[in-house]
Amino acid sequence: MMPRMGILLGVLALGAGLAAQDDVQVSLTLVGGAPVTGTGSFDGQIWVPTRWAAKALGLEIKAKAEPFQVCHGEICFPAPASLFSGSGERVELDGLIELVGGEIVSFGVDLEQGRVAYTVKIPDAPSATGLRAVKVGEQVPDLAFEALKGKDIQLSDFRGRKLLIVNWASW
Amino acid sequence: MKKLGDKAPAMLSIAVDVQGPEWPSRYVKEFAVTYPVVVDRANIFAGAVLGRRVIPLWSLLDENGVLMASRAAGPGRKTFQTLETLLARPPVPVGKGGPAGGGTRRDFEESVRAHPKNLGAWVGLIQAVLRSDGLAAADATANEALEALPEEKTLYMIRADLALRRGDKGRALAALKAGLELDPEDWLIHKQIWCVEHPERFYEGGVDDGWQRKTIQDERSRKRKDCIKNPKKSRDS
Repeated sequence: MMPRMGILLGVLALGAGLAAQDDVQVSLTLVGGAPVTGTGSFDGQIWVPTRWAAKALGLEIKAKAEPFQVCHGEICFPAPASLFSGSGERVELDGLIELVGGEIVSFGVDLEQGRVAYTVKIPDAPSATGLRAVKVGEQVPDLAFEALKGKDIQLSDFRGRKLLIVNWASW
Repeated sequence: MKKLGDKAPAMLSIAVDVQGPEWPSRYVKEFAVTYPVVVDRANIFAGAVLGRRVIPLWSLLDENGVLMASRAAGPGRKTFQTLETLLARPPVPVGKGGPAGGGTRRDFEESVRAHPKNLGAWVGLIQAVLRSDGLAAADATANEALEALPEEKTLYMIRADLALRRGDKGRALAALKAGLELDPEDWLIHKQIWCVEHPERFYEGGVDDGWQRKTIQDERSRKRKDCIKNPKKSRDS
């Protein structure tokens, strides 16, 4: 799992004496795109304006009231309240990238100037049809399985109750 | 789970043995497992749907079949604490993008005609053909699927599964190795290959961890030597 860049920055910042809450200039580049710059803040994590992050990452973010959601293409992910602050006006950047399955390809810090630069890769928004990797917040396809005893089992047989699935092997 | 009382989830155990139910059944009997246990020989759920390459793996779905979490972890206090937190959450309303999967053979045949690059349609069709027409027909369908989607490792896993059901170990190994070539980091396929080639290291007197460690070292050493001899080939692969 990608280490949280906010934590990395925190470790560096302690050494450089950068106080929490200082304004931090955040540059965000989607792989293949041009950098977009905004102003964030740092308190152990990097917080940026929600609208700015949505535009920079090509997302639709619903953060004015619960349930909070982050949508990428046709797929929407439920977002925890802790991802946002200030009545949804600000979002925790590392957590947002992780929520949509993004990858921080590179990260640069200039503590003296109070600047951080992210290069991020967000997978293409998948279509809603077909078998594909499912993310947290998405419905899993209604697969059928060969039972060791009795008739085949389908995942929809368990609808109406939470289902804990354990994958294992005899080897 | 007893500690959770009425908050306890339903449980489903999925064994990913490509060789089928024989060995998982023995463990189920030995440990007197009471909840449903199924076999997913081609590792479709964890591999294709969740994109995971290791086990043990637990996943939690809510009442609407929405994925709440998936972790590569065994039982333990931390797992239990995480589960307790997740179980308290209400289900997510199902909105955009309903689930794929589920349907008749005709549904899958139409899907495959309309969307020949749709893995889910092919997987569904192969399973439907297997149920209705048997192994040879399913194998033929799997071959068609691979012509349409030659880079889908799940289809190679299905081919391996069908071959093993017919007792064709050679064809199964070839399919598993082709799948591994598409995704060399897929540890599950790696172990499935070992299991088929060396069942004595897994099924006689317990799993031989020492042999596995040595085999990994030997494989890595061979790979390094190959890299030195053929740097261009190694760069291009």
